[in-house]
Amino acid sequence: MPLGMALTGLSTLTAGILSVAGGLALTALYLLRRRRERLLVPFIPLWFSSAGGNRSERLARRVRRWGSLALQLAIFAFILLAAVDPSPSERDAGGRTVVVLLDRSASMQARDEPGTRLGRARTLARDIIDELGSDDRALIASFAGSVTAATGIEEDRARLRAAVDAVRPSNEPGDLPAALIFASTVLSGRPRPTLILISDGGGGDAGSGAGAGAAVGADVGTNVGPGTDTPLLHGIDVRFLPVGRRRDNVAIVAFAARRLPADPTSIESTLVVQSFRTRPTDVTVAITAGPQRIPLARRRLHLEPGARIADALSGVAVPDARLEAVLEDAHDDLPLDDRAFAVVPEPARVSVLVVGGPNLYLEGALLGLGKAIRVEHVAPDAVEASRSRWSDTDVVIFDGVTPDPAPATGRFLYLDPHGPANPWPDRGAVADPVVTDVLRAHPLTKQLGLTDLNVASARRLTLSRDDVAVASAPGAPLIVARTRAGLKQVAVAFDLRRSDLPMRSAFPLFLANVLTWLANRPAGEALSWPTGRTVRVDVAHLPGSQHRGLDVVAPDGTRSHAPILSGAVTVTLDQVGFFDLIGANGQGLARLAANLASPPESDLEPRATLRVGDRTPPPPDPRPRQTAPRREWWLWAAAAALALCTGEWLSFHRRLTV
Amino acid sequence: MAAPKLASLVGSNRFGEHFLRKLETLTVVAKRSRGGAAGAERRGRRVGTGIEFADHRNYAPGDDVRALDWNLFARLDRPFVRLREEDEDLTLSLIVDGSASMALGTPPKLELAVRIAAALGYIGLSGLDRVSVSLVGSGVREGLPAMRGKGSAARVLDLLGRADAVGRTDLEASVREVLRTASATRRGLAVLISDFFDPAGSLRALDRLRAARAEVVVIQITAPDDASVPPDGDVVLEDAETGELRELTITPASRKAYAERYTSLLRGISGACRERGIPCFQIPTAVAFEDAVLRILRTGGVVA
Repeated sequence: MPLGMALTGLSTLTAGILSVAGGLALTALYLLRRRRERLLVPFIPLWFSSAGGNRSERLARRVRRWGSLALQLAIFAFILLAAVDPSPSERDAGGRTVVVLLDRSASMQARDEPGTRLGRARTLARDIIDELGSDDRALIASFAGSVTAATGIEEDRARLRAAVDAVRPSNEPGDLPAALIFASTVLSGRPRPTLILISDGGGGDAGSGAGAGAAVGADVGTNVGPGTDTPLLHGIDVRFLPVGRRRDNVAIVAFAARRLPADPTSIESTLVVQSFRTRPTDVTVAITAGPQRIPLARRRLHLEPGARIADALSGVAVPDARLEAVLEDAHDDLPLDDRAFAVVPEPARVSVLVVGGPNLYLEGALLGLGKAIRVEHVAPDAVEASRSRWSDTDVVIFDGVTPDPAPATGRFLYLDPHGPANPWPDRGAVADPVVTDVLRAHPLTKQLGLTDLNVASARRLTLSRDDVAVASAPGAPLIVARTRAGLKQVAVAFDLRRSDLPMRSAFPLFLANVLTWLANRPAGEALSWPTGRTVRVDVAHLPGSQHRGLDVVAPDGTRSHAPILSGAVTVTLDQVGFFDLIGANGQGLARLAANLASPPESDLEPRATLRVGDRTPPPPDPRPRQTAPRREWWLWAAAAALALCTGEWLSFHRRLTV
Repeated sequence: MAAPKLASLVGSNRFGEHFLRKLETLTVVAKRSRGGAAGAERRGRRVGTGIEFADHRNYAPGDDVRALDWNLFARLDRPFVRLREEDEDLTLSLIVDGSASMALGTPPKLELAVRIAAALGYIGLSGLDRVSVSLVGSGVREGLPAMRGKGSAARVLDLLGRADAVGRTDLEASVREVLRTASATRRGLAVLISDFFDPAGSLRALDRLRAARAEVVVIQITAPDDASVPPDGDVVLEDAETGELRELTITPASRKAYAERYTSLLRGISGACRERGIPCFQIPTAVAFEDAVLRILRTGGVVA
């Protein structure tokens, strides 16, 4: 290329290769096309005017013939010139490549700016676009839990503004490190790369992005670009435009609930409220259940500046698994975190296999546990036949039966174990034992009173070092718990029918504690996650999940389809509220709750500066350098090619060229 | 020699029985045109001592004063002598162009040429004229000396039936050779049948014939293919006679120029003939040969 020109399209090498290849191809095709039809005529002199004129005619034919090839080569040359897109080097060096990165995370919905912080950010972005130089090219991107590029790198101001206007707020915390990695990648190798970040500086390592624990005010991400040894944002002019004016927010930063194992109809919940205000504040928190918002609890909380309070709710019967906690009178700048949601899971059904004779006391107590368990009965003489099922059963109860050999793995409750295969060899019997010791802290004795238990006779069990006597009489453990690798066992050293334990109200509770301890099921943790997470939900065991996918209904009512892969679906929680999983038959299969639950995001403290690596980016220059309008040489080259094409077509049809 | 039966004239050449029947018909027509006179029925236009008035000419010293036309002298006050026709038998010389250019056309021009020549020859022999046939190109390729009588028709038809179109065209050289081999005492009618695509110019051939005191009739065979030009494009022209190759790009301009040159050629031939008082017939190959022969017979003076 001539001096002072740069190629902004194809590289010099590519253009050179194309020009040689194209020229050779055109010439070869042209030569092949020159084969002429042979025509037999009676008298050739009739076809030509005179001998002298033939020479000029031959010359004219030769000129026409090669003129056509010259035209085609010229057309190809102009097309190639358009493709390489030459432009004056001086002018091209003046243009910047700008990435305008807008923060659309949850904190940008704060109302301490005209409209919201995001509205303010859009206004600032539009100003930046208007101030772009004539040679500048820009890309609009936004980030919350992930980065979204709204445009390519272009000069069309209208498209850039439209992209800014289309940025919508997110309920997710911001992943600024991921956004900076994106910007760094886009700007790598570009002329005069510039990154303009418009943000409130909030957020941090939330969302499903990488987020290497980057907190505002500290190094953002690592100081190394992705996959290379080049420092992040190396050679890039980084500017920061802060938004946000005040710190006025009270937030629910945690909300969880679970069912009580002993009373699956009741729940216990935990709520954490934190103040991000600079003054003491009083708020009212209300917990409701179900879509009708049935009130469960209402509390008045007093918070000092920056204080965090945890409030618990226990033993409350809930008619609906959907819980909602609301700060009714927060009157703060960010309403998004004034609400929180929780889903109380269905109680886990424990499968129980009872091996023994009829025992109305035991059966009645198990029946009282309701849908929490699923019970099957096996007669004593079928104990060996049932051995293959023990590993698939959550808890096996041996009522007066001691299998031989004793199982080495599994979860078992022995009622009155005896015989040669007794896991606890008995050393005789003890009459009328009195319970003197009870381990109150043990899960088996939770909420139980056993001290006045009446037992006619009990076996004197021999304990091993893996055993814990949960309740014992002097010299005689009455209730024993054993834990080994792959093996959990509970032993009741007496026949229930020779005691008053079955008549006590503690008996069902005891059984519930035993089943819970042996089955080791989670205590009904709430299905709640922070927004921005992508969660995997196991649906294989749910009815209606045999189809290939489910519908996911978001809190705002939008419906999307999620395929079932390996018995699970993946759901991205990008809104605050309940996500419902609907089966193919329209039946609700599961429900998830998503909350902001991000103290860094709820902290609306305005940041005047932001540290990125080892630098503190300043604001953009108010008036970037003005340059002369960039001439689009490629347009002229393309127009010339088109004009030559038209001329060649006309000349060919008029047989001026061949 | 007895007149051969028609069937015996059908040979392996191009003249079938149908063609020969047409010849008979044309012969009848020709006889009726001449009034049915027997013997040497063709009247030559040579001035001689016959009874029939032929023409006048200026009196020259030494002319027989008995030939003066006194009535004309009285009217015009200038002496003229009266000329009288002399009856003699006619030699019909058929000169057929057999060059390669005659093979072009659909049908080939040679086909019409030999049929016309065959018809004229058969009529002439039937009228007890002496007929000679020469197949020419750049010279005489094959020929028959003057023959008389219908019995010679087979030889004439045989030669014309075997004629093919090869070689170049040089009508002047061909005519020169024809005149050299013909009897110097026999003058008559020379019918030149060609497409007249002669690089050396065909007019000199006509002048030679006139200089030999022959009455000349020109029959130019034209083909639509000779006048047509292929669509625009690049072509290589090959001369049918010389094999010369020339590249040409056919354009509207070149198409127009060729049409003008072709028209000019035809007009040139007809104009030159007209100047020389030579009957000229330009007959396209689309015309049936019998129609062409009748036209020639009636208007060309081949039959008086």
